[in-house]
Amino acid sequence: MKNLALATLSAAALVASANAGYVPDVISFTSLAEWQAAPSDPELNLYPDHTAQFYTEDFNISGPQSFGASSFSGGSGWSSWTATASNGSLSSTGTSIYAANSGASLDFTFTEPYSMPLGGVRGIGGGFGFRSMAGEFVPGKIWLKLSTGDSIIKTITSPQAFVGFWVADPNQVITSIRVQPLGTGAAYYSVNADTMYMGTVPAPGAIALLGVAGLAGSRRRRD
Amino acid sequence: MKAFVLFASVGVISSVASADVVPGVVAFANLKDWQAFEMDRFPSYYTVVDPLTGFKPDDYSSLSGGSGWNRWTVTAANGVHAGSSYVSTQMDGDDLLFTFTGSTSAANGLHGIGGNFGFRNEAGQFQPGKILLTLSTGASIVQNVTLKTDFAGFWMEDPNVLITGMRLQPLGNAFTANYVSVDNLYFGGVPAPGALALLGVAGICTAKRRR
Repeated sequence: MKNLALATLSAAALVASANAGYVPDVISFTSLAEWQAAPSDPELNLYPDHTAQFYTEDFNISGPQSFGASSFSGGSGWSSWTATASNGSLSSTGTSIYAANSGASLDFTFTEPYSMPLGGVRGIGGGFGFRSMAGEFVPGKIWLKLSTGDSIIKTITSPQAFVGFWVADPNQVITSIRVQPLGTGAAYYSVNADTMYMGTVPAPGAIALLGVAGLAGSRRRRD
Repeated sequence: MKAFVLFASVGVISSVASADVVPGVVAFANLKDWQAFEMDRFPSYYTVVDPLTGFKPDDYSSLSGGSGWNRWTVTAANGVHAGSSYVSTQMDGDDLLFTFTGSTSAANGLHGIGGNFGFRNEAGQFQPGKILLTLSTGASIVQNVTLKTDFAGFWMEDPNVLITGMRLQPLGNAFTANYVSVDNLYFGGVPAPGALALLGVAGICTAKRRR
């Protein structure tokens, strides 16, 4: 269920043109590979000299509580999430979660306390779409909305499709995301989430604290 | 006195109309989705496309086009180039910077923008590559362009927020000896709810005066 990975961000110098004109605050992505590479991409220069942390949620939820629930929760620490449906309950297939009613949105909230600047959920994305009663993928249009006000509308044509965001402004953080069904599919099919990818950039103070804790732990073991 | 009543009425209508709207910027990677947003969300608005075919193929320090609310100017650090149906930078690695100064009024300004973006080589042929598209509002999208018809664009959800500029930044190695370019520019303008209400109230007053 948990797949934690670390990526070191590049401290490469900013290319000369990067600061010309308008500066991004929230960047949308339609490719998982590009979303994963973004924090260490020297051209995007999101968080130079910081280390990004990733978490992958595969919604491995099973048992009697996996059908008709009022909410699901997962993750831990900064990646803690709670999912609800805008109208009615939600269920799990064991590898994805979906709103029980067609037309309902899936809402994810991230309520773990964080310190600013940095910290909190700064990157979010996933495989979102529609599923039929038989559990099969159905193409359709979704509107992915961030708490920052930024959003993307995309017609999903394959189960491998990806949509996501990174917040580039260190003073902004993602506290929620809504997966809203649009178009004709919204009337007949449930909106679902197959996989959700999350990213954070811990504040320098938090990294230093972890380092001090590690040193203290190793000294105690030596004693 | 009549004017005061008129504007007071407009203010109430505007705040009610926008009470359930969360202002933001919507990104799109598909022209049909961008056009559908117009029809679903703002049926009273209008869009135009500039095919960029009106320029003599040559190098320029800047280029301008459109008229009124969709007037645009494009620049680049080392100048821009006009092809038969596209505009590009003259130097690889340069950004294309668009400014939209046609209107400062929310009622008649620019609220939606999009285009077919990509790269051109020395021979003027389309080349795939990766682009970062950034609006004056800070909203951005990274697009891996593979076809000449690939599209990226935005709409403002809040009809009071205008788009005043856009930057096309080449990313990755694709821009080496290639020049970031645009083939078609799509513009969307949305009459503000206040302006619509004003027109409606003015129409009622005129009709009443006629009777």
